Amino acid sequence: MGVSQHTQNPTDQSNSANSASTAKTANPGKTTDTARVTPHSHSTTGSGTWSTRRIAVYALFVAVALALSFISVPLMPAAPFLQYDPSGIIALIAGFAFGPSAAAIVTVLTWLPHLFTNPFGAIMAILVTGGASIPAAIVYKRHRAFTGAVIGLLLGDVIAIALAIVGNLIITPLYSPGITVADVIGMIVPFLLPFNLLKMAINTIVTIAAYKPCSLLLKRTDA
Amino acid sequence: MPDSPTIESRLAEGPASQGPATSSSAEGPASESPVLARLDDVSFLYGRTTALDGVSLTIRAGEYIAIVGRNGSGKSTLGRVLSGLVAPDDGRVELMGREVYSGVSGAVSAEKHDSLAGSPPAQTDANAAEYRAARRDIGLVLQNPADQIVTTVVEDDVAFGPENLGLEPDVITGRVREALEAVDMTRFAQADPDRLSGGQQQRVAIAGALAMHPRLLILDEPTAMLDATGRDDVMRAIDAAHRGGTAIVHITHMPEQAARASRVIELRDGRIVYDGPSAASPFCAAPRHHDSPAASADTQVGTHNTAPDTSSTADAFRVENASYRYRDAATDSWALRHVSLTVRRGEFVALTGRNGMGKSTLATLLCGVDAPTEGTVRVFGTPTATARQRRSLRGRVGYVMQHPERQLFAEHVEDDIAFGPSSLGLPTSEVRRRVQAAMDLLGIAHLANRVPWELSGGQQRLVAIAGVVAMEPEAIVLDEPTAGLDLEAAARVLDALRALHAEGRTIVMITHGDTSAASRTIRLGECTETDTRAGDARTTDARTTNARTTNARTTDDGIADATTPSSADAPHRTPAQNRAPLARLDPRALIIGTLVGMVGMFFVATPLQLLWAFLGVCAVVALSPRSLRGTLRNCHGMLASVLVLGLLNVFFVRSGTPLAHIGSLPITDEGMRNAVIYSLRFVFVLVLGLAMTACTTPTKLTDAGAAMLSPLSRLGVHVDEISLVMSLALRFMPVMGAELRTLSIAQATRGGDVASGSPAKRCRAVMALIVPMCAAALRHAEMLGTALDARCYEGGAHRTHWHRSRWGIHDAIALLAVAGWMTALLLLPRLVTILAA
Repeated sequence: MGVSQHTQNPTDQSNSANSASTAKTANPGKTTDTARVTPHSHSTTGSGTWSTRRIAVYALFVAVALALSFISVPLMPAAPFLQYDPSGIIALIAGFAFGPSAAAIVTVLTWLPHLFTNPFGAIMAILVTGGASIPAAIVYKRHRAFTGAVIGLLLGDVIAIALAIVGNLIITPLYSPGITVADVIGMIVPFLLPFNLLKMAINTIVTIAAYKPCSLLLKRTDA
Repeated sequence: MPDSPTIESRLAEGPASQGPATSSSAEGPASESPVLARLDDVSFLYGRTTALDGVSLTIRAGEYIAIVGRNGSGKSTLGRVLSGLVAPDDGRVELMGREVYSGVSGAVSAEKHDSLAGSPPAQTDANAAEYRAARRDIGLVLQNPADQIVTTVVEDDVAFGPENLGLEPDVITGRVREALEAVDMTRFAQADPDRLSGGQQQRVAIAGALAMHPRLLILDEPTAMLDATGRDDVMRAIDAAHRGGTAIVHITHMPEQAARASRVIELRDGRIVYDGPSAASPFCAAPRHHDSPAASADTQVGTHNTAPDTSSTADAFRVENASYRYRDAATDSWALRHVSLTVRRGEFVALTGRNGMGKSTLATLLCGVDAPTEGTVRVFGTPTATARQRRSLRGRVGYVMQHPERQLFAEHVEDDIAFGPSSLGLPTSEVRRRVQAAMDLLGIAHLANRVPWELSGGQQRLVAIAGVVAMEPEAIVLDEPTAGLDLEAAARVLDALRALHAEGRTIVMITHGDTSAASRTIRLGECTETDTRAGDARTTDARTTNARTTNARTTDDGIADATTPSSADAPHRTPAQNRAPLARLDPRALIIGTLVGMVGMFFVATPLQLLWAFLGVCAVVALSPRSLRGTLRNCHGMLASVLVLGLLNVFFVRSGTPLAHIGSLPITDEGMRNAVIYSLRFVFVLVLGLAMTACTTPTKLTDAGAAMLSPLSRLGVHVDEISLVMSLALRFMPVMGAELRTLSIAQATRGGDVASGSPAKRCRAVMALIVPMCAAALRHAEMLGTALDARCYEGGAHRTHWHRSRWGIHDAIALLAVAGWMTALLLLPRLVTILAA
């Protein structure tokens, strides 16, 4: 260890000399002190399993989504049973900020508790929210720019609406046998399609509007 | 190292057992005392800002040290470095006898990292292992207790640390018991931490740290968010910890607290300017800073004697015998009781009083956020009883909530301030003028194009206040506008308020501090007639054994949180023998049984099956804890909506004999029958789900779920981590729900109402909720992550579980019963046809 230290010291000094020049302009009153210091990561934890930061951030996002999932607002007066809740936006933002697996986890964990009070509602919500957020996050991962986000969102909207309709076709007759598949098909154009279009529109618009402020927010906390 | 039964006898475990337990001498204990922490010329940089500059110090076993200094002096960073959670940028750090960081090795690792692109440098890994080992003996308690508590039962939370250390369950039991005893919280062992006062929560956090038997306990301003009672309780707990042999490092800004330590280290600009006995410390000798209001009289005439507008007889605010109780709250918990006061137009009134007296609630009533449950509130002559009346007041009264910077959401400061005036439907030029005027008043015009989150806390506060001022309301109600601000920013706020007052606006300011700007002070809680029951609940919630003090406690933002949905509403669980039968089951059996029951419900199609299902549900409710019945009563909203959903089925079934017609839609007898059956099915499913949550805790449920899903970990799914995410999310949901509620109130008064307005406006209103909630999530997550690190969470690999439940005979019986019920349910129609034949 002693030998390797010796040979590496000269390069060490040249590194700190570089940083000294930038540090000097920043802190003119502290020339000698900052010349020695090379700022780097302050982490004390190695790699391996999920970091505690990741766990904490996911947990709080799910907590926010959970709190929002209890807000339900009917979007169309003609169909008061079709209710909107804003928790899907959180899954979208989590997907953009942390990746597709984050979107999946936020989606599933938000609705897992609801599974025990309204199982079919929860399953539909997982399908739709996941269908919207996971593809969007995947697209954004490849094109990390505003245009990537918009394309991802639109793709997610299409998939989500498709899943909503298909899901309704399968599930609604299951929990209300009086309603046949034909009945559900009849509901698509007047109710299901406009409702889901509206829902996706709100989520997309709000996510786009929140994109810039949220990315600035995340950049600040990473610093 | 053998585990010892008490904290006191832990001293014998240390390598230097001859060191004195408590050291009151300023020179430190005898030199044989082991060195717990040694810093040599440590420097720490945040980007380009120097937080610590060449700090050197030594901490020995058993010391009681206070670290003091102004905001920004680096004391918090020093605490983090000492706790082994962050590595500095230079110098040498030795913790618990291990060299965890060395400046030279740091540079080496940076070098190596460049050459081995992608793979982590070996040197840093070695340090990480040393840090991990050292952290096991170091505890850290943070400022906000709520962000450190990870579960919904006090004793489970205290056990979290020992579980992370991999201790055996019976050892954990002993540790939890003695830790709770040390902080005097034994009788709250089964309580829900979210329902405790701040002081009690902080003691739970301290117990959680003590249960890990740390040799060094660092507390970073643990009493900063507490009232006087809470502060005393926490200081006593710290003394108890010290008596037990733990070295204490207490970071504080209060001289009287620092004086209790034997040694004081004072920081200024990242350097140590004093390190010696507390008796000789210049910081401790400084005059005390009082947070409480200066006068004890009910009304106080300040130096600023601007006469109120006596020419107009109209009052700005007239409160007559108002009382307020939060919806869904228990019947005997009032946030406000029989309050009467009058504020004339143009007055500047300061509203003071202890925490819990209802000041924040009164503020929301004055702003027309809600109507009083009893009595009347009149704003500019208009009563606030109906929603229409309250809407008419919008724009006339501005509301600045506690920590208003939490409601910032726009990309630029200008846009955020413009949110309020734009919602008033004003032309763009007028909006711009108002925004500029507000920014000029608060001296932040130069920040117009900045991003809110890049500003300092004080600057953010000024921006948030500007956002309300820009609406040019006739009256402004502010809830603790100067809390947490440094002197300069606080002065700026008070100057702005004085200027607004001089313009003739009415100002009501809730404050714990300087009331001299006001022309009159009203003190809440003294001259008001308080209901004795509610008064007892509020003032003695720190002492009562009944942990059901929910609605008397105020959250961080001063508004009592009683409206969030709470699934595990069992604050005071009885001992095992008295528990309801279903509550004694293994959580895995509960989950399986509930799922089977729910699936079964969806096979109910005939009235007979419905009856059978109903009997099953009745049995479940009877065998569940009594709290379930309370929850069901509170849930009538959810139950009603589920019923309505089901009844809508009536419009879809066209078969059978028509009974009536709505327009062209027939309502048939079969339709009615189906509607009743299907809606009741939903209700039964809901009841089963609620029963499951009433029988156990979210943590136990998620642990059970994780145990059942553990085979998935072989597919690469991080089951343990995800289950921790789930249980943390459930634990924080009420907290975020409360923040959401406060936030939506504040944004609504700025015109951001989600329920009304054009689609564009409503989308903007949703965004004004989403962005601040994400900010809140990140804010809490940062503290929570630190707390998880401090409590040595390192993934699910080597963790033990305190409550490892085992399958028992009653689980088998329960599952058999469910299977039997299910079989009968499925066979019933066939049985009927056989009997009928």
